[in-house]
Amino acid sequence: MASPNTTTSDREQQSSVAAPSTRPLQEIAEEVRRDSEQQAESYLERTAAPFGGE
Amino acid sequence: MRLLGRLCGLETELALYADPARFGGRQWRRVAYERLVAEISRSTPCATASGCKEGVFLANGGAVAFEGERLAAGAGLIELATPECRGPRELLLYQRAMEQLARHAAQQIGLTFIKNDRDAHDSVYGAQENYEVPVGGPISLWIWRLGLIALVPLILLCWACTLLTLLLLLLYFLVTALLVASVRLLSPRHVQPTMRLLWGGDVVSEDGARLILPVWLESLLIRLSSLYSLPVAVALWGLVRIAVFRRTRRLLTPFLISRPILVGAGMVDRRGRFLLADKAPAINCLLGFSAFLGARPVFAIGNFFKAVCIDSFTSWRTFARLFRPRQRLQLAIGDANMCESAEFLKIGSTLLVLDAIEAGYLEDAPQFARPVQALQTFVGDPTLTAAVRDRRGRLWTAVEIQRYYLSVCHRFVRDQADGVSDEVEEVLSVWEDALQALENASEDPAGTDLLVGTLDWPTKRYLVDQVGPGGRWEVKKKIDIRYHELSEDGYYETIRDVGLAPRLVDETSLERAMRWPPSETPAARRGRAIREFTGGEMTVVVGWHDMVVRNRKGKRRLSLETHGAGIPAPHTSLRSRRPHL
Repeated sequence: MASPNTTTSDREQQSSVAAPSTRPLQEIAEEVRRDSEQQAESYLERTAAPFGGE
Repeated sequence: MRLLGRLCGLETELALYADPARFGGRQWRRVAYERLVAEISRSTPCATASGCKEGVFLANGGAVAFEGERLAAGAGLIELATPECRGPRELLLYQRAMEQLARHAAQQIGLTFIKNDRDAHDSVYGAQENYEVPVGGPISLWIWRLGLIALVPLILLCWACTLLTLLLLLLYFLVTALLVASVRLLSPRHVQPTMRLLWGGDVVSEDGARLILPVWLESLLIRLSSLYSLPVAVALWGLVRIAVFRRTRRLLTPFLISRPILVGAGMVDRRGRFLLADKAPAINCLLGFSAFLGARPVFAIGNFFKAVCIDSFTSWRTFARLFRPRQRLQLAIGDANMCESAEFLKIGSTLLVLDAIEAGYLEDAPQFARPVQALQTFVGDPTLTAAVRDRRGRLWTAVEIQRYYLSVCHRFVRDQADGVSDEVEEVLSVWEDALQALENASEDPAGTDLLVGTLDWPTKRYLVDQVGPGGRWEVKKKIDIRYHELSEDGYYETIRDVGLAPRLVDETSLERAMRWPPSETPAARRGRAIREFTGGEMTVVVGWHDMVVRNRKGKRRLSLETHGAGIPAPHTSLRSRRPHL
C-alpha cells in the first residue's frame, strides 16, 4: 500500500485496473435475471437479519 | 496539515446466509460467529477484545465482533471493523482485507455474508464511517468537558440501576432453579417446557452455555435498560448537540444528504420503486443513538453513550479520553459499497471535505431547514432532477450541491502552499468524473449505464431493470440483496470477475493487509502486540486504546496509543516463549 506521497509511476501501478471485459454486460445481466427468478422467496427469508443492527 | 491524513475507519455489519441446521438451534448466528472466529484464528493471530461487545482483534489491527442485542430471539450480525487508517486508499485496502479474512473463514464453515444495509423485511444495519475530528473551538470544548462532569450523577444512577437489575436477575435464576428442581421431582414430564419458559431452553440436553434468557425476559430487560438509560441519553444528546462537532455537522450535512447520488448502493423498496440508497430512506434524524428508541441518525453518537455508560464502568481511562480535543465522528448515513470506486470516493471526498471544514472553508455552504426531508427527496429521485430550497430561498439539486463542494475542495487544494499528494488529486479526479457522468445522465437517463461497475446504484439499477416493469417484487428484491453477496455467486462479483468493474486494490497489497497493520496509526502497535503476546502461556485482552497481558504471576497494562513506537519490553516473566509469524 503506497504512502500518500506516491510517485507518478507508483500511481500508475496502483491505479484502477480496468481489464478488458471477457463477457458483454448484457449477457451477465441476463444470467443475473435468470438466477434471481430461482427460489427468490426462499433467498429473501434466508438472508433476513431479525431486529437489524446499528 | 497533511490532507486526507486524519485517522479514519469503517465498521460493517454483515447479514448471514446459511442453512441454520448446520449451526443448530435458534441461536445459530451466535454459533456461526464462534466457528468463524475459530476459523479466522487458524490463519492469523487473534486476541480477545475488551469491553462489553463479544469480539476479537486480529494481527492486522482490525476486529471481528458479534453484534446482537436480541440474542434469545435468534438475532445477530457479524461486524467487521477496520484498523485505524490514514487516507482513502489505505482504508479501502483494509476494508477489503477484513472482508477477505472473514470470507475465507466463512467458506470453510458453510457460511456466506451479505454486505448490505437492509434485509427484505426492512431491518436496517450495515456500514458506519468513523473520522477523527476536533470537538470544536475553545468554548465548545470547555462546555463539553464541564458537561461530562455534570453527567456523573446521572451516570452513577444508571450504574446503580444496572447493578440492581443484575441482582434481580441473579435472584430470578436462583428462584427458577428451585422451581425447576421441584417440577423435576413432582412432574418430570413438565421439566423441559418449564425450562424453556423460564430459561429459554433445555439446559440439560442442549448446550447450556448458549442459552441466555427466554425471549420475554430478554425483551423486558432491554425495555428496562432503555428506561433507566434515558436520563443519561437525553442529557448526553443535549450536551453533544450544543457543544460537539457543531460547526462540522452544520457544514458537512448538505454534503452528506446529497452524497447518495454518488455513493448510494441503491434499493428496491416495498412498492417496487428503485431508490438511490439503501439506508438513507430509514434516516429519521440528524443526531441520535443508532437503533435506540427507533432513531436512525445521520450523525451517530452511540460511541459517546457506550464510553460514558458502559465502558467507563470498568475503566476510568475511557471516561478520561472523552476530555480530549479530538473525538470520533461517526456517520451512520452511508451504505456498504461493493464497487471499489464508490467506496474510495465515499471515503476520499468525505475526508477532503472534513479537511476543508477544519481549514475554515465552506462557511457559505447551503443550509436546509429540513435536511432529513431533503435527503429523502434526493434518494427518491433516480432522475437526479429533484430540487430542494435552502434557507436563502435558492433551489438546489443534489448534483448541484456536490458540484459546490467539489469546487470549494478544488480551491482549497489549490491554496495549499506545499502542494498535495497524488492521492488528493486522485480523489478530486474520481469525484469530478463521477459527477460529470451524472450531470450528463440528467439529460440522457440511459447515460447512467456508463457508470455500471463504477458506482453501485447505477450498477444495481441496470440489473433490476432487466426484470422489466411487470417483474415480481421478490425477484427484484433478490437482485437488490444478492448484489451484495460476498461470494462468487454474488451479482456484483459476477460483474467484477468478468472485468466490468475497476479494481483499485491489488492482490499483493491485499495479502499484506490481511496480515499486517497500517504503519502510521495506533493499529501498528496493536498488531505487533497481538503477534508478540498471543498463542503462548499468557492471556491477552486487547482494546482500541490499550491491552492487558496476564500470566500466572501477574498482569500488565500496555497503552497502544503511541503508534509507530516500539512496544516497551514487558517484564521478563510476562514474555511469551512461542514464536510467531
